[in-house]
Amino acid sequence: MALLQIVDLMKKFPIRRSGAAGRVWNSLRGVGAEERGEAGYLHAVDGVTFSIQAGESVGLVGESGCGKSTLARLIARLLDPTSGAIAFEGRNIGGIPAGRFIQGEMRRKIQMVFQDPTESLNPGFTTFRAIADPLLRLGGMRRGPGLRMRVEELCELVGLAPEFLGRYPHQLSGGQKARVGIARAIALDPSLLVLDEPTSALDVSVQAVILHLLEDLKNRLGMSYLFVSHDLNVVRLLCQRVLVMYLGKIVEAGPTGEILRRPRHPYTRALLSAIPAIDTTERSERVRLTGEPMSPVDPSPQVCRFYSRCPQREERCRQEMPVLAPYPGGVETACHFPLEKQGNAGTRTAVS
Amino acid sequence: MESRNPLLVVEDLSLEFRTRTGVVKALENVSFQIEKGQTVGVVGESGSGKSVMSYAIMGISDPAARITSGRIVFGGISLFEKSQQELQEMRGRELSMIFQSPRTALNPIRTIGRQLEDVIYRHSSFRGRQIRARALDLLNQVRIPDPEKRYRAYPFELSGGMCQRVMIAIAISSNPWLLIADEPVTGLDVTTQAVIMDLIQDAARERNMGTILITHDLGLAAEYCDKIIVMHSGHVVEVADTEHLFMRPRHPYTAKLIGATPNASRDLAELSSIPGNLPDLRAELPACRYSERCERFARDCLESPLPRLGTGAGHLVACRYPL
Repeated sequence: MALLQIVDLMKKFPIRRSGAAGRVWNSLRGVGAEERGEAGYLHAVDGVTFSIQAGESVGLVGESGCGKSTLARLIARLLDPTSGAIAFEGRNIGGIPAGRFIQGEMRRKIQMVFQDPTESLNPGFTTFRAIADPLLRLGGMRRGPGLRMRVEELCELVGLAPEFLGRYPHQLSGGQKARVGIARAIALDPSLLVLDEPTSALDVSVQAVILHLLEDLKNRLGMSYLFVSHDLNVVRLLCQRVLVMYLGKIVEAGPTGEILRRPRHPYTRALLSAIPAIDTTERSERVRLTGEPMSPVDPSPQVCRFYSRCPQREERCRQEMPVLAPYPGGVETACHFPLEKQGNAGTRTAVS
Repeated sequence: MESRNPLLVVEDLSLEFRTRTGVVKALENVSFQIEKGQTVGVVGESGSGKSVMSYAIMGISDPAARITSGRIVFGGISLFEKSQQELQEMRGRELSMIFQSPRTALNPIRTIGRQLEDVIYRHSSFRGRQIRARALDLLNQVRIPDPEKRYRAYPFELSGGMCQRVMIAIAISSNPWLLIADEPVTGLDVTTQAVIMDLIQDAARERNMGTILITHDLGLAAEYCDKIIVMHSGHVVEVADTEHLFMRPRHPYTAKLIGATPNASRDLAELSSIPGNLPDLRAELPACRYSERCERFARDCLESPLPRLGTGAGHLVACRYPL
């Protein structure tokens, strides 16, 4: 049994099309005048299905606005899904309202590390209080030497010297704040840790340290990770499997190495080719996306979401939404015309 | 390699900030030069002085900043001898800059067309209808789809990538000699990053414009720059051609930075981390500011002056025991 099983998960945000806010939305999304005044829905997560096994790390990549953070928040149960199921350890927790989930026993099993280590820490809390907070609220612990011992133990786990316990966030460096965020998230021994871009605000030197720490913690504590990132090179360091998301849908999924070696979806290939590489031999043929992303507001159920930017698009892509289909190597791709070419989309001739 | 007529020469530049808690020695003896049409990357961790240096070149340093030594010569003109008014004339004309967050750099209550027009009016001889035509031409050059419609758009109506295109259009409107791009694609999606960087590269090639690309992303610097300057807490620790630098880094810090950058083949176990933090720039500092974090540290690393070793082909390293 999978630790987490997501089935046909959907999250739509209603959009008010009247008033000032509605006008902003309309102009932002490029909605024509004739459509204004109607209520619409932004399809942030649109029919997503996947699972995470116990002890497994799954990466979730995609560009901003593709719905990856919404998906992370649905799974961490900070948001309520519109429809679909989230089964955690065999129990559907998707139906429990987020407000009630907070008090439930499952809350401690799914924890989250947020993107910005500065904004996700209470500026008025010392390190000690930030880490002790979940223990007091959900861990059934009381103030006293027991609590102090547990907090110190957590500090040691994440490599934070005890002298930082009395400090406030503004007295900590970015890397130290990231460690506090991680210590707080693992305080309750969760079985699933949702990490939303945990290193994107950090320098590479600090990022490397935090990535090593996360790998070490996973091995020691046996947690599963859902690792949300926009950087495939970071994802491949920690995750055996990766999901590529585009405008609310998973367009490609499979073993990380397989997908990096041989992307089949045109979006995955464009994503890979856009990663700047130090090593000239690692650079693949430049694929640059033209066109603009489609509107996520009430998108057509027939048209492939990538249609507006796809270099390979054909008539069929506009008439029939591609669904995930299996390919060798455990890869699934949602494309009518998956890329055939072997290798990393053809190695770009060495740039000398 | 180094011509007799470089576009920009920064020589022995030292800059400090006077703060309530002490004097912050933000830049110390920074030297390098840029040729016409050359793209130079400035890399290093946050706090290494990359932005402070570019602000000093632009002459827009914080009022608390004081330049204590050195000079900046741009197109044969010594910038520190110029009045603020003269510098203001040069900024946006010969010397342009784009910033990390395009949305905050643009005026939120003026349409992007108007903002382009303002700059064209200020720095060119175009007048009347020509201005609009020129503005539309620029929006076309930065490949903004449907420029006529975008002309009337406000910054909030555009995506981050589109706003950055507008910033580039503004920056190149006067065909500057030098463009300083301070983290121009940080915070944008990789697919958008690539498109924006291509755009900057094309604009620079067409105009034979020098470009300073400030970035923390070594991959980006490797792909787009001819030459790289590595900075660490206010010092230039290494300068070299891109190929040389990545093939054979000489400064231990450069090597560590390269080793800490995730790539397509390195395992997590092979990803190196850099111990320690940047030193407090208010304190009394040793000759080598990296010495505290360095694995090759020896006692004489603390002694001034730190040698700047030339290793041929314009490869310079500020280290007593280079790799």
